[in-house]
Amino acid sequence: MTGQFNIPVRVTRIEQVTPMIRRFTLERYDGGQLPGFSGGSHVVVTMRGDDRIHHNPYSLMGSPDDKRHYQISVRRDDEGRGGSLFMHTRVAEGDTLEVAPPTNLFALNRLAKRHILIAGGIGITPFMAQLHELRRAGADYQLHYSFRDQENAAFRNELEAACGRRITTYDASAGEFVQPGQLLAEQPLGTHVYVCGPKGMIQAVNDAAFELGWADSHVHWEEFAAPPVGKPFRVVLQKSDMEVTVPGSSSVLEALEDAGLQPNCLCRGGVCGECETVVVEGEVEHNDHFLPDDVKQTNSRMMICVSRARSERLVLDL
Amino acid sequence: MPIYELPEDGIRSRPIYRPMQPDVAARFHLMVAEGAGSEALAELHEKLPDDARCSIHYLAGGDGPDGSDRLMQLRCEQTRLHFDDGQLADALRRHLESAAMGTRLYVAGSEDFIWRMAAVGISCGMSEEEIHVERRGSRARPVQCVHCKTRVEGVTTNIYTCPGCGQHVTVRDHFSRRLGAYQSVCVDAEAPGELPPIEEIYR
Ligand SMILES: Cc1cc2nc3c(=O)[nH]c(=O)nc-3n(C[C@H](O)[C@H](O)[C@H](O)COP(=O)(O)OP(=O)(O)OC[C@H]3O[C@@H](n4cnc5c(N)ncnc54)[C@H](O)[C@@H]3O)c2cc1C
Ligand code: FES
Repeated sequence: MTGQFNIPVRVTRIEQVTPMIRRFTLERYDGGQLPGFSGGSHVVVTMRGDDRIHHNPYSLMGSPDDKRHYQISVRRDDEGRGGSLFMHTRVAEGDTLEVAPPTNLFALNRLAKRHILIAGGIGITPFMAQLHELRRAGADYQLHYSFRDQENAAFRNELEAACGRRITTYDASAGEFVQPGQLLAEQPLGTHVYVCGPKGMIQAVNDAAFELGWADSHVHWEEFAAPPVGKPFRVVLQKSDMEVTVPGSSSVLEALEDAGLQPNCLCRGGVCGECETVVVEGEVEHNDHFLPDDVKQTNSRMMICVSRARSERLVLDL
Repeated sequence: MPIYELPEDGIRSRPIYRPMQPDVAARFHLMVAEGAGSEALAELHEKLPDDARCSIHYLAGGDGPDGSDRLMQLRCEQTRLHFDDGQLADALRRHLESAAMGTRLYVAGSEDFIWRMAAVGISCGMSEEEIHVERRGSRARPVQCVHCKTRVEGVTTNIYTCPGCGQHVTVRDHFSRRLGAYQSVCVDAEAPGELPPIEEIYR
């Protein structure tokens, strides 16, 4: 188990972008350079709350050329386990946080002839970094941005200034919605589509692309999913000779981290494959997008960032 | 669906070719062949759903049998015959540049031919997943000399004299997908002129 090292950062600026969204500008605590990143990357932010430590992924939305600052935007989620609330209510300018080095699971395809970007709500964040790359490369792109209403149209002015005629906005309160079937029809060969937004939107884009005969490798999506909650269960770690209780509102990964371990992980969303763990005993409730279905059925492996136990006890090869 | 597999053991970069299967999710099937590749296209066409849309580009002549007649009989939106492969490559490029997403490219023929046509697809923004290839006819290899980078098409022997640097080079099993060629290296660097037996092995 080799956890990632964290970089201490200082919050240099906080902007209230919409009633629900705050943008945070971060710089290295010692003022030095931050690790580089490409558009679509996220960082895992560690927030030390009073009763629990949160590790939430947030997409980097600033320019990849800016080596001194990272920017993230956090939408307040009152239903969640408190990470986004911590960012909204407890973090002030001048405070310190920790971030892990960026990882990109939602990168632009550099060989694409055209890029179609589809964002729903807070899902606009990874595209804001990608837009820097697309504009610098003089790439052929279109941005389709849908939001609930004008009050929640985060970054709209910035985006319109940057994208000009390449952006189309959709105001759901005015009955405007992205129509993936129309958007993707008759696109030239070499087009790639990228979608980040609510589950239903991601599904609709995938369905339309499939229907139109698009190859999977041209369809890219990122879901801002949080680890699902469930019933508590016990995990036995065979190699470490430990037993840990996973509470209903924590993932296995989080419970192991709370117990002082540092399992491998990157995305914390069941897509990167980094946290794959051998299951010695027990039945798994698989929630990831990584393992093939036949492997899932055998209960021999699990992604501990999102999957849980169906049995009362799991024995892991950790 | 990968366009070809890599052997599990031995030389991992040497492609293994299997009979092409139609990608039934596609909206349009663009089929390209030379010589004996016409047979592969005919077999592929057989497996296409009845209402599938497709077009064919065929390089008649060259070495190998002429499958033009056979291909002309297949139900297709367009069947075009070409008489040199530069012309075919240009026609393919023009076709792909006006094609829509949902198109798949199928290429059958010699190894040299299929990788050059696949490269046209890649340069038009297609991903490997959208390109299916099958080797038919000659097993002669396209080879690039690692020393002087001179490329030779249709090498049939284990050892040849590189026309670029004049060295005796041996054909290795390492296939570069980027170059669409096998690589050759000098065989007699230690003792010039001392060569293992030369055999025709890629026919
Ligand atoms: C790759 C990636 C990039 C992301 N980028 C961004 C970004 O740029 N901006 C951004 O705002 N967010 C982003 N997110 C989402 C972010 O990581 C958090 O999930 C989000 O901020 C909510 O955090 P939280 O701690 O408040 O709530 P979480 O605990 O993460 O909960 C989120 C949701 O999970 C469910 N849930 C959680 N706990 C419970 C419970 N006990 N009972 C019932 N339901 C529950 C609820 O539906 C809740 O709304 C990203 C996520 C991923 C995976
Ligand atoms: S950390 Fe990426 S799949 Fe679990």
